[in-house]
Amino acid sequence: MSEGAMAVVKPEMKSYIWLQTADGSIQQVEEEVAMFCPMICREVVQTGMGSSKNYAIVLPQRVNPPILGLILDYCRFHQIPGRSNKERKTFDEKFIRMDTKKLCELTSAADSLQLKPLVDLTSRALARIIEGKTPEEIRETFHLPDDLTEEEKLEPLRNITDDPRIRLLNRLYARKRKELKEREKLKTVEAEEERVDERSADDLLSYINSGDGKGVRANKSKKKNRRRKDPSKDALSNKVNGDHDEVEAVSTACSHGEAKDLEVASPHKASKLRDSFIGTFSPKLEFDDGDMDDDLDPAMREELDREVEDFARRLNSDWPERMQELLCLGPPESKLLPVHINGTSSSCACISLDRR
Amino acid sequence: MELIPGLPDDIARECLIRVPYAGFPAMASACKGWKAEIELPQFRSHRKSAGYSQTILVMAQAVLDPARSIGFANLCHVPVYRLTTFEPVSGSWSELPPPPEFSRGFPMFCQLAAAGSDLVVIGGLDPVSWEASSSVYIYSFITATWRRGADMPGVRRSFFGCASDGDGMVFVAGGHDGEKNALRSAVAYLVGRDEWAALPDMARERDECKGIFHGGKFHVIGGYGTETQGRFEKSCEAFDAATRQWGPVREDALTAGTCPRSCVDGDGDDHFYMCKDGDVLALRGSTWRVEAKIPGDVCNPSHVTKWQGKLLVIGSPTTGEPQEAYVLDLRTCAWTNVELPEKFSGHVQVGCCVEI
Repeated sequence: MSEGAMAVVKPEMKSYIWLQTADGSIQQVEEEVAMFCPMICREVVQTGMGSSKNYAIVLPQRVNPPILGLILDYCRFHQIPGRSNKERKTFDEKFIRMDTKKLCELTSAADSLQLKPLVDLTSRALARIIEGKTPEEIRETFHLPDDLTEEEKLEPLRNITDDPRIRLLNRLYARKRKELKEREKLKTVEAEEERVDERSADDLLSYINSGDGKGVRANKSKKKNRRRKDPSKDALSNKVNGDHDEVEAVSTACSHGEAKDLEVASPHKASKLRDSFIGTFSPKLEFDDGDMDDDLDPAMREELDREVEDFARRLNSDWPERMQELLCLGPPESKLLPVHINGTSSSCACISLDRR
Repeated sequence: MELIPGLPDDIARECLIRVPYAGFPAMASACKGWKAEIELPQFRSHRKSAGYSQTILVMAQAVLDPARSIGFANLCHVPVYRLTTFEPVSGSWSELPPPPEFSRGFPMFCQLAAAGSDLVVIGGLDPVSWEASSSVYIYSFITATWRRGADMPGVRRSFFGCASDGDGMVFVAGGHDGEKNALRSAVAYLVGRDEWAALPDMARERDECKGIFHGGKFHVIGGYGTETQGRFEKSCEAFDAATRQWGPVREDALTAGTCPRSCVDGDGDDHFYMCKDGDVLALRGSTWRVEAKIPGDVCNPSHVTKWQGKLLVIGSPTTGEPQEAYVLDLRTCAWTNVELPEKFSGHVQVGCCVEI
């Protein structure tokens, strides 16, 4: 604030600055309020304009009367030095509530008056408006052209957790169970070539549990001395130990023979049950090679049926997170986790789901 | 065509940079102008200088099933890893949808690096076949989509050191080949051009080394040679991208021969931080000092990552227990506990920090 400009006005009178908007209308504004705008302040100081109606400061074109009114409201509040941060914040939050079009005009006007705090406030408000909108909504709100090709409008991967998907998954699950029953009759022998991981269960376990570079055979029977990081190996072995009991309980009556599971190595030569449908499904159903045994104990069969029911029920419970994982399904030929389905046979059958 | 009709472009930019990154995919699909704008490197640097950058810690974390399965035993002997994100400012956790190829889990021991607004996933072992992979997958936080990058050239390596210069170049060095021979070779990936470039060899073979980018150089710490399996070195070498040369081997960079997993780049004058024997150590010049004592809850760290002025330590009191997390403020040396939602309390294999 320049002393020179103030000297023009008699001290006991309230001082006003005269402003002219683009439409030609002129108004007077309390000095301290108007001077809060850097652009007006500069004009007054450098050119001495604004002291009377005839010498009104011409405001930039982007500032029309209603918008000027809003800006002056803002200035009137904030130019009072004594206000607390909380008060200012509360005022700002209320102040900013207006439609997008007006918000844009206000941003533009504030910028032309170099009122940075207001520009920041309004830009943040506009950013909040953008956030959460779909591309279509964004175009509508800001009148943007729809000029991207379909390819360019990439379908972003979203975390989907709606119920309809859960229901769909259930339906797929039921359908696959039916397919399973049908397939059993065919008794395809496919397991041999599906067996990717040829290491025996014991090898894998000892690898996981060792960490002294004890070798583990990989696919190609290479010995790799690899030091496993401690925390993970122990976490794994704990998990393994903890789950053994359950496995035993359920799988005793299940099939005999080698169960060379694709991803899981288990000490048991029985089929395994898993509920962690984490990510791998295939439409092909796989059976253990020559290990199918039709003499499944009816009691066991019942229990397995119940478990399948339980599982289906759990699928229906609010388990959005799991859906998210489940719905990232792999390509049709990917391997999957063996699940014991209701047993007309004790086969180690694998659940498979089509890719979504 | 204006970015936002009715607003000068530089003001429109002020609005766009204030949108949280979650809104980027929709913005990138709104119109050509917006897509071009937010993909500019200047957009990201403008965001950063205006103070609207967001820090995202991305981690390859084991999937944990929150519920105790009743029927189907949880036989996750080999944990399945997926990418999770943690925003330290908001405290929110989320999961990144994987590319279809990784729907069964991310490669074990893959490396993560942040290049601008892209996340680069390199190599690792296929979770089913355990074969080492040279694949490169890139996730754009702008479009929320995955793309495949050029495979890492040369011998298929695993357990290599990897670090990004934060801008568009990812360095890879050491590791071992299919016969467990330790490697001294190094390569660099230029993300923008999707090209790999060979770098001169290191002086030493370094299997299981740690790569850190600090002070304009790619430092490769520790590791061991083919003939000295598991006997970690204390030395480190640094590659200067400007001169395209490796500096002299710095012996005794570490206090003792130990796995350099927990080394991270330092802040300010500190070169590196490292977790050892219950302490966070800081290296400045050639002296290590104790920066802080690690809280008992995480005294067995499984993963350490650093971002501006903060250090995140994830670990457990003893190996095998559920993971916990603490953040160290490097200025005040004060620890804050971070609550890990159950779904996000799995073992963390590797992580990096994305600033967008």
